[in-house]
Amino acid sequence: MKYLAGLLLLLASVAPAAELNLEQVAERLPDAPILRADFRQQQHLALLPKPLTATGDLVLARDRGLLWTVCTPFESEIKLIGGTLYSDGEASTLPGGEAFAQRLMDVLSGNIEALEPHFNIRASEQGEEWRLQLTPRNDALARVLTGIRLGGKHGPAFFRLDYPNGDYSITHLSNVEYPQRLSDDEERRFATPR
Amino acid sequence: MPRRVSPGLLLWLVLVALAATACGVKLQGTWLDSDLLSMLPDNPLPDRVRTLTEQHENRFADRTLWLVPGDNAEQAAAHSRQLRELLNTSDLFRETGPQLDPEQLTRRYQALRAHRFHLLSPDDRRRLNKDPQALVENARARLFGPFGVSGDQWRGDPLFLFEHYLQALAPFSLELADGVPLATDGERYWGVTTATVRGGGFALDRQGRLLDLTRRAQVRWPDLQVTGAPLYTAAGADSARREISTVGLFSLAAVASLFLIIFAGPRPMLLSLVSVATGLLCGLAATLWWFGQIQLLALVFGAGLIGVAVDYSIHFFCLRLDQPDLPPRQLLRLLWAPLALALASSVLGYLAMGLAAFPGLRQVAMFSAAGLAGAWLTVMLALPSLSGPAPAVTRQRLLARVGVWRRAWPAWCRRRTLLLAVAALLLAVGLGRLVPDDDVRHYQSPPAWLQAHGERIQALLPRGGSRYFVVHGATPEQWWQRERALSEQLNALERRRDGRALQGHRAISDLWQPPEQQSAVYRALGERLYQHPRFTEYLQQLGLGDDSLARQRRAFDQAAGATLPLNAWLAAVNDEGLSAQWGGCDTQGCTSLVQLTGLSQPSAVAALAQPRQGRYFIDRAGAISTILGALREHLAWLLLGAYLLSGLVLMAARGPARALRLLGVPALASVSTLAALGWLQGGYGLITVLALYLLLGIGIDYAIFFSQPETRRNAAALAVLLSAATTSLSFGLLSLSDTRLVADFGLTLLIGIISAALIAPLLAARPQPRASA
Repeated sequence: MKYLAGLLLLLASVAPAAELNLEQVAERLPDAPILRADFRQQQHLALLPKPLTATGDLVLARDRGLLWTVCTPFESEIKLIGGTLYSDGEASTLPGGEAFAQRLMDVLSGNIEALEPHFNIRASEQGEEWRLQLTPRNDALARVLTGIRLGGKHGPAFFRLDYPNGDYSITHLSNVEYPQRLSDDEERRFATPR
Repeated sequence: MPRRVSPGLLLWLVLVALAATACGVKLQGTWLDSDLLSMLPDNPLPDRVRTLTEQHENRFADRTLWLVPGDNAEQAAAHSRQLRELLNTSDLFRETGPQLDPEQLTRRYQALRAHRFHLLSPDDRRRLNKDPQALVENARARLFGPFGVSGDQWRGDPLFLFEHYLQALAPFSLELADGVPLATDGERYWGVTTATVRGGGFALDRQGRLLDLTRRAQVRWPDLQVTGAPLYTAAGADSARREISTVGLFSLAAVASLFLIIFAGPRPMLLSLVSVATGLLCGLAATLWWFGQIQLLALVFGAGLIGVAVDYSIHFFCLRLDQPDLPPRQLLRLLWAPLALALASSVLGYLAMGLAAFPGLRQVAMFSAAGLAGAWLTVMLALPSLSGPAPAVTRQRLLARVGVWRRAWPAWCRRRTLLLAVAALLLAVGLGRLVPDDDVRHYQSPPAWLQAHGERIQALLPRGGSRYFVVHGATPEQWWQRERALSEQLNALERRRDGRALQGHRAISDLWQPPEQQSAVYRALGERLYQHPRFTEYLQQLGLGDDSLARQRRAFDQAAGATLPLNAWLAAVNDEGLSAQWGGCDTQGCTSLVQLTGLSQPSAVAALAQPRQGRYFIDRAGAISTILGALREHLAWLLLGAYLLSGLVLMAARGPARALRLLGVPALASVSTLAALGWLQGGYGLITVLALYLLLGIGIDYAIFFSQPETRRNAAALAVLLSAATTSLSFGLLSLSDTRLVADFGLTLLIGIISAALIAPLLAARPQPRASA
């Protein structure tokens, strides 16, 4: 798995897209066991008058899982450990099962090799940034998710999920770090799921 | 040699022809029953419970499970397709699959959607009662979680309760590729294939073909993993059969060489073989005619019978070596009494086993009695005509040497009282170390590769085990309440802080409630969420106004009364596993099955069983172990009965004091054997007791022959040593078997026979008798 130092990016870019192959993207991705970042997630749902915006921070650790902490508008924490989702101390299985969690972690870490069996992937370049457009190969997944886009200068700096009715959510990462080890607090949070 | 065929020989030929025809007729079809369980009496469960248990077990009894790897999903699916083709062309399987419908989950979603306000996951039901605000907070966390949500989904399920419910229905949904379910270990994909073997009774010839097919598939996909009851049965029967035939061959070779050397010609050897073969043929014929089939265990025991059956002809030929001048008929006149006594006491002993309440043991009794009688009749009827001219080599030196041993050995022992005391102490300690071991799992020893595959598959694809609950209630309401109560107690065991007794369970009543409770859930949802200010507040926080709230409440109101009866629910969910857990309702009530996963403390879980409350814990292996224990105990008492019966026969022939000495040979040999087992492995089981039965027959033979008049004792001693050498050679080989059952049997007999041969001259030969036997 590869992780990278990514920069905060803005989505809209006027630079023309150039073709890029997957190996070239893979070369740019950093190889680190842990990704720590702040995030800002916006959900554009047609039924809502304005986008839902959440900010917080996340820790993604190889072979451990994901800690997703929301600071605004409400404080909450979601942990994804060993295929189980823990939401405010309650364990539940995941929407779409363990596979979906794995895909999401692969997207966050830019693990192209793991994503390839499940998506048709198109790579391109916009300015200094790479872009990947993922289309589900699997019909069942395609019915709930039409596509995933992600991009960045080194590692992924944003990802966007597109739904069949035109709704989409986009999450930007900032202050990305690649520490060699987890902090004591993070270790504790992974060790005690509930 | 007589020109005319003697009446005895004619009679013997008729006997052999009859037995051979009987075997020939019965040996077609499924004559060998390798299922250890068919030895046992039927299960004492109520009808309904037993039906569901049998259905459940039959689903697995004939099913094999194959996992083929691929680097990606498509490759794994393609390999699975090829595998299924290979399996289908073999004609061994009734059904291969599964071919899953990728739309299944979508259809389930659509079928249940109208009932979504009446069906909640167990966790959400609990939270709705205790802390409804937590449900709102959970929904918000989900909304702002990493996965995002589409507006369409949110509109129909604003609190994600339906999402939770669907997840509870399908806790591990496998990915599909081309309709093939896939398991994954993070690196590779494994295409899952199930194949059900044809026919309930899994015939022996097909077992071999199943193993061949498995090997062929493994050549093609070296990492293929396969498991399933038919494979275990096939592998077990295969190794037992192979070992028995290897051991049988080696045993024959050993007997043959010893005979060739000692008797300096092939005739005694061939005739002994004829006698043993006739015995086995008679045993097999009698058992097959009486019972229709023969149990593997009875066959193993029967193979051991060679050790007793060969004695009769050995005695004949040894005596002939000693007294070459006597014609065969006169030799038999001398041997008739001791041989008849040996036969009568052994047969009576074995018939005691026929009193057992277990069908398998009655087979063993029948096989032994008929087999010994057949071998004995061969010696009596056929040997005089067929034994040929007197031996050219008389082996006087060998006989003399054996005579020196049999006289010197008791004297040597008498002089070493200290050694005897130490031996007695060793015996006592050894016996003290002996504990019964009836765990049937110790006796099923599949080949290492099959066990490794089973474990690998369990890691890739966790499945329910062979231990589960069946719940019965006189009415649908009572059934539901009882299953519910069990489920709550299982929950408590799953959450225990000091180590979980099990990982999880799957019960219909967790996922489906009776219509009244569904309505109660609907009312509570209205009062505590949809009509409650906290729901209004939740929508406002998302920036939604009154029209959105009105739309949500309208959808909720319209769903009023949309309850779902059980059968309609099962149809809507359309899950093979859940449907199989439902036993249905009839005039006696309703029955269901509760699956358990990850059982780490079986006893804690088993303690929840309450048969009076219609709650049965089914643990086939555990139940079998209990029955094996009962069987062993039962058989041990019968063994005492067999000693008593044999003792009575001996007493009638020789008087009480001599009878006691004679019986002392097998008895002391058995005690020595048990003590040795106590030192060697500590445990003994049913098969050990069975071996002690054979030892009774062998020991009595040895004893009777040592107690003959002094003039014939050298010949008797040679016969006993020869018999002990040949049989312990073959049983010694059995003790190396991979099948624990066979190995235990062999080891017990090996030690027992050597002990009996050493003890016989000590006990049976003294005091010097005056009268002829």
